[in-house]
Amino acid sequence: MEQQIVKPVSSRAEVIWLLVTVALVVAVSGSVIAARTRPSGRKVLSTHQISAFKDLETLEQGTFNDLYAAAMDVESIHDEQGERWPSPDDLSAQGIPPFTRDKVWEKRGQIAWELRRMNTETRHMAVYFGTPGITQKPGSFLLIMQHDHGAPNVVKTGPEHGPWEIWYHDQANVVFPRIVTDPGLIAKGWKEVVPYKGEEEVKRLKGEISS
Amino acid sequence: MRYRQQIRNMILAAALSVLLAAASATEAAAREKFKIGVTLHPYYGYAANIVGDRAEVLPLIKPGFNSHAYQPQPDDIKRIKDFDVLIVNGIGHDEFAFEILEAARLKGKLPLIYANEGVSLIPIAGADTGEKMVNPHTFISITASIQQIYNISKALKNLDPDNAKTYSKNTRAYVKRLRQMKARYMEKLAAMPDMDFRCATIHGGYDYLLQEFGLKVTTVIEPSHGLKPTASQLAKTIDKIRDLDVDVVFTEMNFPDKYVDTIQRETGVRIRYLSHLTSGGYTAEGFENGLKANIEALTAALIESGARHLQNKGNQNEHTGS
Repeated sequence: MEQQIVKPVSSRAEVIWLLVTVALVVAVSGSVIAARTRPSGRKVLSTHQISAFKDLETLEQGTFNDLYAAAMDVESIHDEQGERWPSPDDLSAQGIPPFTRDKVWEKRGQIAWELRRMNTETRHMAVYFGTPGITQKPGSFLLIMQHDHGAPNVVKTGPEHGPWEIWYHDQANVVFPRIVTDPGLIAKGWKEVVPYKGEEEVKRLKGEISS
Repeated sequence: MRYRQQIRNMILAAALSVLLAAASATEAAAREKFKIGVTLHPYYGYAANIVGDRAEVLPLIKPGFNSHAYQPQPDDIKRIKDFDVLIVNGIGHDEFAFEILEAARLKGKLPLIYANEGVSLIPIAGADTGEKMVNPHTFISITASIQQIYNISKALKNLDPDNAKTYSKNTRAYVKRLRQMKARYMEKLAAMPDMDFRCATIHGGYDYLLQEFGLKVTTVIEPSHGLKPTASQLAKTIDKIRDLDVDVVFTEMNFPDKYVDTIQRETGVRIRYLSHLTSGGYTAEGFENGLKANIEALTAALIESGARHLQNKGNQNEHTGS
């Protein structure tokens, strides 16, 4: 007697083949899209940030760039002088703009600087606060320098910060911010100024990011 | 007797070995000196002042080239193979370095220091295009140079940690000197009355320097860097210089152009020369001297124009009887 096994009607094989084909199409198209898309060249700024390159007027951009270079001096002096933050007068005496009171300082609104050292056990922090003496040219600046001196077991919370940050307020008659944290400054109308750095331009030129 | 000779031989041998050891140590020190390649003259100045005698700074290209239109030569490939690291502008002023790297098959192998990595860049002034274009001339400046000097110093300290302390000390001294140089010229401007200084430049090369002096470029003559203006563009520039009462045109010391003479003849505007700082031999003090000459030309133009404005005001007052 001849026996024949008849499999029940099923679309299992078809489903498997269909799934394989779908997976293949998704993988191929996904990798093609990934290969062709480049992240945007300019950093996407948060609402509390402005671009030094695009958003600041020439005079304010000049103050920002001077302050940005001065931050490197401040950091270097801090390391050199036993972790002491230099005062605005120290910086002015060394001819470091925007602290030094020269003709350019006059032209950019005679910004007067004040320093508060806010060192804690785990963090060395200095805040340089500048408001213009000529109110027709509004715009106040904050240079926040920070160094972590924390024990290795201290768990960091909140956003990562660089060794310094520069913030800008479009008013001249602002007071020294009482709370120097991102939310504290944002609440008082301060905006963080983000430079367009060579690092990003190099990536753009290499074609790693689009312009 | 024999005993004495033995002692003498021993002393001789000891002296000889000390001498030999000293000689080989010096040789090793010389041999192990870190070799730092640079693409443009200012980078030679920055690096030489950071490292002092602790490392060797070598140019990638022989002197006398035009950095805007350089074609790589076979010798460049030989030279690049000697470097331990290469310092580049990297934002559009030394593209030839990347061609040489590729030709020498060193792309991705030779460590590069991008001098502008952490530098805050500014757009090219007076560019006609809507989009703001990055100005790569960060080396014709004090503030942007200082940012680059700190960047290069940081990178060199990581690559050559044995000399890190010396590099830090030298960097501070060099930066201080540059700061003081500008401060001395700013003192000369202190007594000047406030005035509206209007300048034109042939290209965007001096934007960083002019920004540091609180100046804004009124008009840029070349339609883009290295491109000569056409006759109609030149005519428009001449009209603009007349209409806006431009005080001074800053032009290039090492690449003089005939059209600048035409502008001068037509408008009577003063012409002052600035240096692009990428010519001549490679020396440690070349950048500093070139920059000093630029600042001198700039402050002289400001003082001269201030005096002219005062005189014009005086003449006007006389005319109106006030």
